[in-house]
Amino acid sequence: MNIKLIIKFISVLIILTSVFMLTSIPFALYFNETTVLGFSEIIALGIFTGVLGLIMTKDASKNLNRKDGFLLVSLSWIVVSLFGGLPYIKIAHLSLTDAFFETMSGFTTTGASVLTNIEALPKSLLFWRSLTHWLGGMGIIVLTVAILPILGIGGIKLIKAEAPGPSMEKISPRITETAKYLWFAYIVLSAIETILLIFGGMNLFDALTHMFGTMATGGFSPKNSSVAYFHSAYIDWVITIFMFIAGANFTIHFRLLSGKFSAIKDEELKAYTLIVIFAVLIVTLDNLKIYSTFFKSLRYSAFQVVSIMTTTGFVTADYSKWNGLAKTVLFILMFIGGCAGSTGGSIKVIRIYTLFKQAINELKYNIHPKGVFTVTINDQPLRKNTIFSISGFFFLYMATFLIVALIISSFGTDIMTSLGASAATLGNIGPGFGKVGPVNNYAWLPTGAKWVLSFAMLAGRLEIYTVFVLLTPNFFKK
Amino acid sequence: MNIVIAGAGGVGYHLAKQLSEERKNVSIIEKDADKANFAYENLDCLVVHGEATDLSTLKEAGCDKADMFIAVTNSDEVNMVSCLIVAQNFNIPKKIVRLRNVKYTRYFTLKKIGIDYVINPEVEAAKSIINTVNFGASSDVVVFGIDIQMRGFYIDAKSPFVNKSIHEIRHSLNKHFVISGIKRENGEFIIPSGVTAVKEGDYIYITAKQSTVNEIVEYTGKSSIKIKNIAIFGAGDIGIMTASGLMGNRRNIKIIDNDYERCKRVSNKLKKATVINGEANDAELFDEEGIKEFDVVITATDNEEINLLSALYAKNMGTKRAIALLDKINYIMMANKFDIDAVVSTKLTTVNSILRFIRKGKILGVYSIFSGDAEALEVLVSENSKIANKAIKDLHLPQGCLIVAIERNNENLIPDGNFVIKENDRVVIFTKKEHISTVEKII
Repeated sequence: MNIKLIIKFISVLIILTSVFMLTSIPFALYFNETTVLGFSEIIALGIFTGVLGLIMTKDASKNLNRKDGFLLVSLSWIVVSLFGGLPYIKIAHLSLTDAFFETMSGFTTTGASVLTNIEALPKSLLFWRSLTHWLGGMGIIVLTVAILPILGIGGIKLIKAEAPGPSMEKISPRITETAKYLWFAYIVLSAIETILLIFGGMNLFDALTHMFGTMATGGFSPKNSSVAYFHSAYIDWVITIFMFIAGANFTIHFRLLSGKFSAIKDEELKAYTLIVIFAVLIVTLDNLKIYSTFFKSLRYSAFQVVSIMTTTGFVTADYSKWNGLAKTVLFILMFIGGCAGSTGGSIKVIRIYTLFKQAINELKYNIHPKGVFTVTINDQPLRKNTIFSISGFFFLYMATFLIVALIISSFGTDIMTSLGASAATLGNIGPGFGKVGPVNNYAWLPTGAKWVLSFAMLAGRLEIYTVFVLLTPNFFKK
Repeated sequence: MNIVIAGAGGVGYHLAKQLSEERKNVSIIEKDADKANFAYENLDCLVVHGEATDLSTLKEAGCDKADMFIAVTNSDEVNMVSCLIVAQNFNIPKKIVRLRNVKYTRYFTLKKIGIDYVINPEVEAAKSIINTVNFGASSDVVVFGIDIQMRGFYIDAKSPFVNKSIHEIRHSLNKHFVISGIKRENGEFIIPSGVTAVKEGDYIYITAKQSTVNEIVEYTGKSSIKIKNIAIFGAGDIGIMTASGLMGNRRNIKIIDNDYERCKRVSNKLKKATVINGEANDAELFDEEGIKEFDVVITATDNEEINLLSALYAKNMGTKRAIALLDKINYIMMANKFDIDAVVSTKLTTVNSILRFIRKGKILGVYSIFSGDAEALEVLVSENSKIANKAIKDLHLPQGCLIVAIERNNENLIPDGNFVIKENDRVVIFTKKEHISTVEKII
């Protein structure tokens, strides 16, 4: 095991995180807040530790095997979440548990919060809170590999361990280039959304923080009542559209941005679009009883459906007061999530779609036992191994969901809250049902439950396998 | 530089690995799903799953922007057709095709179907074997265009080099030579400095003049011999080409193959050689044909395991030298460790030959060593080269990069740090793979 290289990489990551933390300081100065010193101390600590780590691991060899890759990615996320939580402890006087939960929720783009009165906190801290979303959205490892090719060939293993979806499509021969292109598409779309939000009347602070939450499919809002605060149909629709974009594959976005419009003919994208349209339609019709007009119902339903499906977790309506059908649809959508290569979490459309096709084939096998049927996606036949891997993923995901729910209920919470909290953290969504619903938060949960849910967020973000292989006894055997 | 490679077999995979590690943009086309997946998992390049003769696949691999196309699939015909398609649809300056069947090169003008360079793995391997034999078959040989050679040696417990630093070795021999690279037993590869100590289990490359090399070889315990009696196992293309290349000089050549029809054909073709029909691993045949008295045994059958074992067996029986044809990297390492004097790999010689063509220009020769961990580059120093008119110690070459030999006015020199390189010098630079692009920039 190449411990030295792992330490080296994490050191780089801490320095990088510190540099990003610097962007909170202009806001602290602008809003005349007393947080400048706190932030400066943490940044100095981060850079000092990082540089020390780099000096100590100067002679690390560049060989990184598969196991090292899994360990490196998981450890990176944990260490960065610990470090990124320091401002909460220092400035908002949160406990370690709460700070870790909040930061893990930020980096994994979950958006589940333990803060009760968000608007009372310093703006610079809220900016950092939303920025963790944006950094975690496209992946902190992807970012590191893109701007610092310190790993050479090993980068591809890491990105695969972090990237969402069963396989990672390359836009360019070199992995570092691919990572750069993805970040390019991410930044361009982020810029467009920010401008549109400012155009809708938001100030720069609100526009940036909500853009971070949207593009990363995160869900942290600096407002107590989330996006509902703005009471603007325009802002609702802009965010709805950009949540939808962020839930689609960024490889496709890059192709579209570079003028290759044929990229839109992607099967997963079609399935994703169809599921969203279908769900919006059902929920809108079901909500007609609550909202006065069709368009009003469409606005709130579309926002909530897209927000839950893409695993963002912004809220414009208290959906816990909706009818059973609408609520059930939202609960089911929690297990679908965004597309592969998006910033969304959960199981992903491509996996559901593949399993669906495979299930259809199994039905055909029952009728024609000697028939030959293949699963194809975009006219490419899938390898058996891919389908097995997806089936395994599906099982592990559901099993984790149930076990986490079981543990949470053992702390004395009711069934809907337990299931909701488990699905909402594992799928990186944020708001769940019951006592962790859209107008509640996670603050009241006992310490143990918060750690379990933090683990669920990490396992969900790193797509189960990366974290779970660390728990198998084989991993540490030679 | 953008490079498209068709075929992710042994040669294609190895080439892609080497080129992508030099930070070139490599796309690789492979029709076999498992091979494609393996390449995808292990290489930093774009892997396209499809037929190399399919226009859309070629496009997807980025042929419209490529600077080079290399067709190295298993089929000659696929290689030619894909090259033809590429030539007619894209504008790629350099197109390289692997052709096994030598006859094709005679039937039509290759330029007409757009082939710029043909590579034949069997011919390359045979050439390499012939070279090794002509230089005494005592060790792996890298021959440069100048009168300087690089030789590989395995250091066993009995070697006089064991546990000595480079300084001490140089002192005890009192000759001009450079130890250019050491591969440790654990696979670590280093470019040594004066204080580096040679350990048991190392495989080292020594660069020196031809005459010095022979003295070093003798010093390490191998007397130089005159090679007269040669036994070749395997009458395939490589075997036959090697035999005809070594013919003459009153050499006695025996070819052994287990296929009767093949033996018949060969005996017809190579009248001066003795052709024996039998198994390479047959002990009685060894006795009967007196193989143990032979100067050198070359094992060149299609079966690597047989090549390795029968070369070992021959050495054990008393044959003076053994050369084995092996492709698997782990076998090559094993052969070096045992008593096999030299190993020739079809795959690696092919890769070398392609690399030489790719780097053509200022670079006259490329020799990939330790299965790609390092390369020896033979360079002609031009007027505006960044290394001209400077002492070697002032060049600030990256660590792991060594100038091992220089030819000036037909004189060959092993330089030290104070040596000043001039225009028109031919320089041999030994470098770790990660510095190849740096070296390419400064020469």
